[in-house]
Amino acid sequence: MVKELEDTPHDEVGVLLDADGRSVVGESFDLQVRAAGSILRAQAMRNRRAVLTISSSPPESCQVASYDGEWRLALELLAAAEPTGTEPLTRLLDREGSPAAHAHELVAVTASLGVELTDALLERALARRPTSLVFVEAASFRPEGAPPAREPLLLRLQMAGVPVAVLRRGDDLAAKLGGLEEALTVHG
Amino acid sequence: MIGLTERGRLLLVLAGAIYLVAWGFGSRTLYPVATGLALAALGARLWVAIARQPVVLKRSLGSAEHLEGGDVTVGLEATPQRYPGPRSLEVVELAGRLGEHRARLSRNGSRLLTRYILPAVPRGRYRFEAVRAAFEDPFALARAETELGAESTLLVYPRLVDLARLFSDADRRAGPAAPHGGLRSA
Repeated sequence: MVKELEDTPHDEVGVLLDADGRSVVGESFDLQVRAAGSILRAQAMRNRRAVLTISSSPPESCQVASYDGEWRLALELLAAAEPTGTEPLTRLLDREGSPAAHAHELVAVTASLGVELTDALLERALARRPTSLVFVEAASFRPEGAPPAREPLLLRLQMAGVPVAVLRRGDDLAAKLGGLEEALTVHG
Repeated sequence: MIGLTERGRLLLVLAGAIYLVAWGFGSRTLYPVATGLALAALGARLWVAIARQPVVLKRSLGSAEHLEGGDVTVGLEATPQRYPGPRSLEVVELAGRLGEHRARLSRNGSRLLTRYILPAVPRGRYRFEAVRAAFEDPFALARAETELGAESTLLVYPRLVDLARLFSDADRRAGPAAPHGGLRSA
């Protein structure tokens, strides 16, 4: 007997942009958008099927099958993105049918890291589903600035092997997201 | 709606005052002055009534992709639908969060043209709306406004960086490591 199995193909990479307006300070959301867009473009240029989900109100999604194809639509979505979201990112991850949550690999870009989100990311990572986090330190956008945060939740993720990039105001985005800064530190 | 500007109303008040002075003091020479000033205000109103007409407005935002923080040059071209068209025209437009912008268009052949720059525009989608054209006489004594339907959208894209490799690639190969951002010492 031949059994025909049909399955909806899931996206390879899900980029989840947290648009919770409560955590935005100054232009911190613009940095989140730049980070999410740069990662999404890098994935599209590798010909990896990706999906961008923005947790605005209402949430918006755009699938990018190739750089030549839907990338333009994703870029327009990023251009128009506003931090209008009111729901925590975990609710979007828990939601049935959330395309980013179903993607094989997940990159969360947020400025608000709580225990629930940390647990959700750890759960994914422990299930051997590649998960990484870009954390934008919104406090660094305050007029008076802020010293680098010592966030224990970031350390929990890092200790569990979840790649984490921390972005602050004025950071070199390419160096941080490309891991160049870390590589230079390691190799002297 | 055509109305006198503040300057036009002052001119009318002045005309009335001069007329009263002429009448009170019996100065016949002041009557023509008062009448002339009043006629100037009324003439300005008539000028604006003739100049006011439907105008087709075209907006060009350039063909290049606009990136956040960059300047955006907005070109406006108005084509009057009747002869004679106004010599100049003020256009008032509201561009979302960018606020209200006023631009004066000057005659260039049969069209009225101008360009203005929106400096350092942040990322976003901006809808140009509530566009009005203001017609004025050369002495700005009377003014009329008319709504123009020239809505368009400006998209300002985020500045992305090229990433040949990703921080997550390196971390997965190396296993647990410090976050990229200086938390190693935390």
